[in-house]
Amino acid sequence: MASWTAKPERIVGFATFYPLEDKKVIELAAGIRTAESAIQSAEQLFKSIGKETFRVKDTPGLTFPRILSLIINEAARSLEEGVATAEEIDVAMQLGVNYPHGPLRWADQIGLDEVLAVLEGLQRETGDDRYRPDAPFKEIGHRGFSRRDLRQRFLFIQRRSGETMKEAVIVEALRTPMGRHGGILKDVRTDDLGAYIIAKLIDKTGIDKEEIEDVYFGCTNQAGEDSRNIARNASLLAGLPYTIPGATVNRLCGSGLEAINQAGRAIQTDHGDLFVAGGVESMTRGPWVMAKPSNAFQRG
Amino acid sequence: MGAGIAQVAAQAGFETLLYDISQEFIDKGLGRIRSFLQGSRERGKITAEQEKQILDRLHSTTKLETFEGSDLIIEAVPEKLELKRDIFKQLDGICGPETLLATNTSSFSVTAIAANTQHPERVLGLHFFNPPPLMALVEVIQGDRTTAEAVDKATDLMRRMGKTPARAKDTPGFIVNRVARPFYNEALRILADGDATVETIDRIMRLAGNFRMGPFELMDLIGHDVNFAATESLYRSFLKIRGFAQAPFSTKWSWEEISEGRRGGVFTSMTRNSLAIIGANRLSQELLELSRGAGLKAVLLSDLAELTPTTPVVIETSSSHVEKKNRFSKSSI
Repeated sequence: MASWTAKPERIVGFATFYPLEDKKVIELAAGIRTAESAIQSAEQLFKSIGKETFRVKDTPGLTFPRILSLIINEAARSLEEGVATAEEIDVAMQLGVNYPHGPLRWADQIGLDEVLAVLEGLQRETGDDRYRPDAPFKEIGHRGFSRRDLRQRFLFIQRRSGETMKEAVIVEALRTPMGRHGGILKDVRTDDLGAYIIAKLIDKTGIDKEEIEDVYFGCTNQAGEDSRNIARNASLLAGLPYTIPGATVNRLCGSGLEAINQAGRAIQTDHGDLFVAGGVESMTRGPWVMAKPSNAFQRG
Repeated sequence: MGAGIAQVAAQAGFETLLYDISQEFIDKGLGRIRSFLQGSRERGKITAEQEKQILDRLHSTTKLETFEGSDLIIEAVPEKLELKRDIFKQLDGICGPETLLATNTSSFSVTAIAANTQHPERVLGLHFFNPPPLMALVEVIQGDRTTAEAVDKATDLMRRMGKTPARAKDTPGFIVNRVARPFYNEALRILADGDATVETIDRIMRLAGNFRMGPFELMDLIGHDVNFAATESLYRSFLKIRGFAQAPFSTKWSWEEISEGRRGGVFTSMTRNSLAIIGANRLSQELLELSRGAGLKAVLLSDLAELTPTTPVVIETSSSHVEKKNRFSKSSI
């Protein structure tokens, strides 16, 4: 990579896998023309964010990503050959040799595109067949899946191989105060009320907004301020990115609960990992409903 | 390993029969179980009453015929295919078809072991991990002719024995031995290529990968002969595909171990941060202070007899030629 630059002496390589949080050590690698001073500043930088560094030689995947990618590749191969289910492979590695995670869930967490990149790099540089990525990786390479699809790749295989459903849990729950009809909340728009609680929920849990799969909200009136998909409007007002969709459901008094149940079912069946679900209603601000004339110039 | 498995069964409340070819081996196994249980009692994990009950559930025999009428028989004899086949053939004749016959093999095909039996449908693999009383996992292996009912029954029994079963097909290395192969083999390759040192690789895998032990520490612990044999067995079983080929170096180390009949110490001796200093002089004292200051575990010994065989680094500081010769010639202890 340094060869593409005008100043190759300042290019330093480092290798790790997402997430950084649980890594105490980062591996650094110098290219042929990397300056000692560049390596040292990289070391200092990582030190300042609390990471120890190790210098290793410049090879694809360096040490940890290289070894882990091969373990994941072997696990993927075993899965494709039907040796065991994804769940059983993961449990076996955790309990049989004390791995910190099962290799397949670990791969889903890292992103299969990252693992694929290490394997392909090793295969390209060494020409050794041992690094040939297994079928699911190649499929990813050819189809150009998005990251979100990649993350779920092994979960799909898992479902195919008859694993039991995932467990859905409620991470955090919040509620706005409730007001009387025409009471203290009479001036708060319904969509703002929904947005307020979504924003607070994200603050309190500290979740990454981008990780949200969908927002389900129950609402019965759905007229006026809460019309036209309040789940979506409230999420946008709460500052969620426009890439996170929303859906409003109506089961009258059971609407909020229905929204939560739908999110739970979606998680159990592997349609996503993280959902915001709830409900919002303001009877005070519900508009009067008047029938439209059936034609332009109504008589009588 | 057989004694460990017997202990697990007896602890879970099963009447357990321990077989070996001679009373001497049985006594050895029972002795290990007794000392394990004694330790558990002393740490307050079990009561004296429970200890007695567990031991009362353990019976022993030197005759395979005694197994007649058992629900499940788990074989854990040395990894020799002919030996295992022979035992299964005998058990097949002794026990009715309702008895489950399981092998604790880690390197042979369950189907191959069952080949000589009249009722291969009840022959399966139950692969325990060492030491069985502490490791939760058991791989339940379905041979080509094993029925699903037999696998279900064995899976259920493993749960009742307090284990976590993981079912796998009868393929080389099953799950763990196969998927874990690159952990050792790729680490050896990185070392052989000179990309990183033993200590660096171990630390990176522990601190970046959150593995409990680095690959080299772990290889030292399980033994290079054992690790070598596991890789070799997979390589042969997969018809010598490159992925399972031995990494450079592993041959050398494993043979060194096999010939000397010892375990471990190949890598950790290079890396462990502890040392012993021998010699009563000022230099020794200064070395001791320096090493401790640098965070090493250092001890000063006045006599060679105090030296433990596992001490990785020994520094000898005497200025006397005679004394040096005397000490170094005894370094085998």
